Parts: sequence; C-alpha cells; structure tokens
Amino acid sequence: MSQDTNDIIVENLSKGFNGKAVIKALSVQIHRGAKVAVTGASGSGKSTLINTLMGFVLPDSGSINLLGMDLNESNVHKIRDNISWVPQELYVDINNVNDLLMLPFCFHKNKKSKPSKESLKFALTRFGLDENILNAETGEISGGEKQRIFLAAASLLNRKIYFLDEPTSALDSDSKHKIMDYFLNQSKSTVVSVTHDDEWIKNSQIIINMNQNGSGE
Amino acid sequence: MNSAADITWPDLALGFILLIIPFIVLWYYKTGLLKPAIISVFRMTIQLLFVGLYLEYIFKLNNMWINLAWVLIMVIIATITTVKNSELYLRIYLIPVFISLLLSIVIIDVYFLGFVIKLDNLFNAIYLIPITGMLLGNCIRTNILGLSTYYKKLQKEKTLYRYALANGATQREALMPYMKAALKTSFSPTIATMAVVGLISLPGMMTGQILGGSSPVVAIKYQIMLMITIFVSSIMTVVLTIFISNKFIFDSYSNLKLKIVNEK
Repeated sequence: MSQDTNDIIVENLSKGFNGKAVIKALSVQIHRGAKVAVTGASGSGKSTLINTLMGFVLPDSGSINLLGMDLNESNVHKIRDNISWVPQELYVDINNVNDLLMLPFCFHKNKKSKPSKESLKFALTRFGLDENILNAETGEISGGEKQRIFLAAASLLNRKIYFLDEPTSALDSDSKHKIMDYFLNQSKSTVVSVTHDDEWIKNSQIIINMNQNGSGE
Repeated sequence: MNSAADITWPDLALGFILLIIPFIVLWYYKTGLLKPAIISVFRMTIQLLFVGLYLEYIFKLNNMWINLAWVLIMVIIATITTVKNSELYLRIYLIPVFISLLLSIVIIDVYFLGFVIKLDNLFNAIYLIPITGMLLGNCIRTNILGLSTYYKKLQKEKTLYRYALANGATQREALMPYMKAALKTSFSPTIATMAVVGLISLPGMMTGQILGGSSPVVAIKYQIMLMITIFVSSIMTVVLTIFISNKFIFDSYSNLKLKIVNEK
C-alpha cells in the first residue's frame, strides 16, 4: 500500500524501559479510515504504543509516519493538530461539565470547530447523555458519564486520527454500543483504540496484540 | 523628629524572655518544634547581629562595588533558598531562578531608585541594600509558593497536559492551567494583604521609618511604593522563572522530562 492511503506507518518500532522490551520490532501499516484494536494483558505496552504514536514517548529505534509526515521534532506539533486522544481517566480541576466538554475548544486551533448548541446536544444524545448534564457539577457525574463527555468532545473535533484508551471501560452495554457505533463507523477517521472488549476487537479491521511483543496482524 | 531610642544589650536580653511563652506551648503540646524553634531564634539573632555590624561597615564605606557584591550575594542566597524550599532540583532550577531574581531586582531597583526616588547615586547603600533586601524577601515567599504549585501540579497532572497537546493545544495553551494555579496560589495572599494594609497591620518598613524619625506621610509614600514594587518584582520573578525553566524541563517534542520535582 502506498504512503498516500496509509494514515499510520510503523516500521521496526522498538521501545523498552529499564532493559525490558515493551514494543519489539513492531511494523504495521494502517490505511485511512481503518479501525485498529490494540490488545494485550495489562502492562504489555498498549498505552506505551499509543503514547509513542503521539510522540509522548520516544522510541528506541524504528520509525513512525502519521498522515504522510515522519514523526520527528519538526512535525510532531503538526501531527498532534490532526489527532484527538481520549485517555482512560483524566483528572481536570474544572467544576462544571459544560466547561469540561468545551476544554479543547478553548484552544486557538479548535476555535473554528466550536460546536453550536444544536450540534452539542446532538453529540451528547449520540452517546446517550442528556443535554442537562452540561449544567451539572463535575463531581456529581459518574466515571462513565465523564468518559462519554470526553468522547463527545473528541467527536466534535472531527479529527483524521483518533486514539482512544479503553473507551468503553466504564460503560454499560447500551452506552458501549453507542460509542462503538459512532467510532467504528467513521469512514473518514482512523481510530486506534486500546481495548479489552471482545466486541470492539471483533469489529476492528486491524488487531495489534501486544502480548506477542507488538506483532501486528 | 528624633531617631529611635537605642535598645541596650541587657534590654535586648530582657526581650528574649518573651520567648518562654512560645517555647512552653511548643514543648507542652509535644509538637517537635521546640528544638527547631530554638535553633531558628539563635540563627536569626546571630545572622541579624552579623548583618547589623556588616551593614554599619558597608554604609560607612558606601562603595559601589561592595554594595553591588552584597546585592549579588543576597540574590544567590535567595535563589538557593527558593529552589530548596520549593522541593525543586537545584541543577535544573538554579540558573532560571537566579536569572529571574536578578533581572527583576535590577529592573525594579533602577526604576524605583532612579526614576521614582531620583537618587543621584543609584548604588547608595542606605537605599539599595534595604530595599533590595525587602524585595528579595518577598520574592522568595511568592516564588516558593508559585514554583512549587506550578511544577507539582504539572508532574501530578501530566495526563491533562498531554490531553491538551493531543487535542490541538499549543504548548503555551497546554501550560495555561498550571500557570494560572501558580499565580493564584502565590498572589492571592499578596493581593489580600494589600487590601487591608494600614487597617489591621502597619507594615515593617513604615514602622521602621517612623521609628527612625521620618514623618508618617513620608513613611507611607515609601510603603506604598514598596508594596507596588514587591508586587511587580515577585510576579516578574515567578513568570520569568517559569518561562526560563520551561526551556530546560521540556524536550523538543514538548514532553516533560522524567522528574522535575524532588518530592519526598
């Protein structure tokens, strides 16, 4: 496959900590719009892989190309402008749910995509949330609701690549399906998710099993 | 007006008797603070006696180079005190804190002594040294609060910083919550103090000047200027230190280098 149609190309990527290899010579090509599940036991390096792809952890060897740009110090900021990452858990010192959701839209780059009231409501409903949640205090909502708030914010950013860390870990089955339906059916976006969820894995086109030292299938 | 009445050495010793009260309280409640308190009082006394003697000598000499050297020593001690008390690594923060303190002090001293008081000799010891000392003393306090808040929050809430970067923020935008927290923590007390000064407290400099024979109106003018210069120099120091040390604590990918705070 040529580089034009691949959003992510990883070649011979290795990363270790304290002498222990976490990612070992991983090579994978991820075409535009692909849905990728990163699986493996805890501590197998799933989050390390995602962090490496976003340039938060630097590889020991190998190369990464995202959206046709080599991941290096001159491109990393351009690359990050085109992605959205939703961590599994995030502590933010913000009291109001509306402000929590709007956090990414305070950044200059996202000002243009600031959602209207309607699209905000639509995004919340899409993930099974009532629009009144925006008036709640952050401390009043559950972990699952908070996770969906961050996912709703990400969905409104319309990014080319999404990195989702355990996107359904705190969700009930109904909410999980809503998230899955949305993210796994985004034809224009590549979605890389760290997940333990069998259904999510089954519906992904590419599975990277980190138990096998990061050999992509 | 006459200058303050001298306190004889025996009278000074009499003043020390007051310390029995806090010492008994600290001992009775088993705070473990008795020994540190005694050591601190001892150090404070020795240091001040030493400085008093030294300053008498410096004021008599009033040599520009000696005065500047004294200011430099004060900045170095203030730098080390700030870094150590903020639980930061000396090797990372020594230079940023030193540059920021020195720069803020130079700018404020030149402005205050040169443009406001319009001294003929900027390096006049009786102005330069006490005013720099007061500025530095206050800069240390706000700097310790500001820097430790900024770096501890950054280390603790690294995921939020990454979340911002991975969702379109520039580094400046991603660091905004930490800067905001640092400024709020370090300057809320200063701002609150300014609002009540004169009503419930008479500041040290003003009291000193009145005791020294200045008229209260002159003393108040100095105090107003001092409150302003303390506010400006300490905010400059906190912001400058953070800006300069950001160059050292992030790599070229805007990632935080492993450990920036020496938390016990």
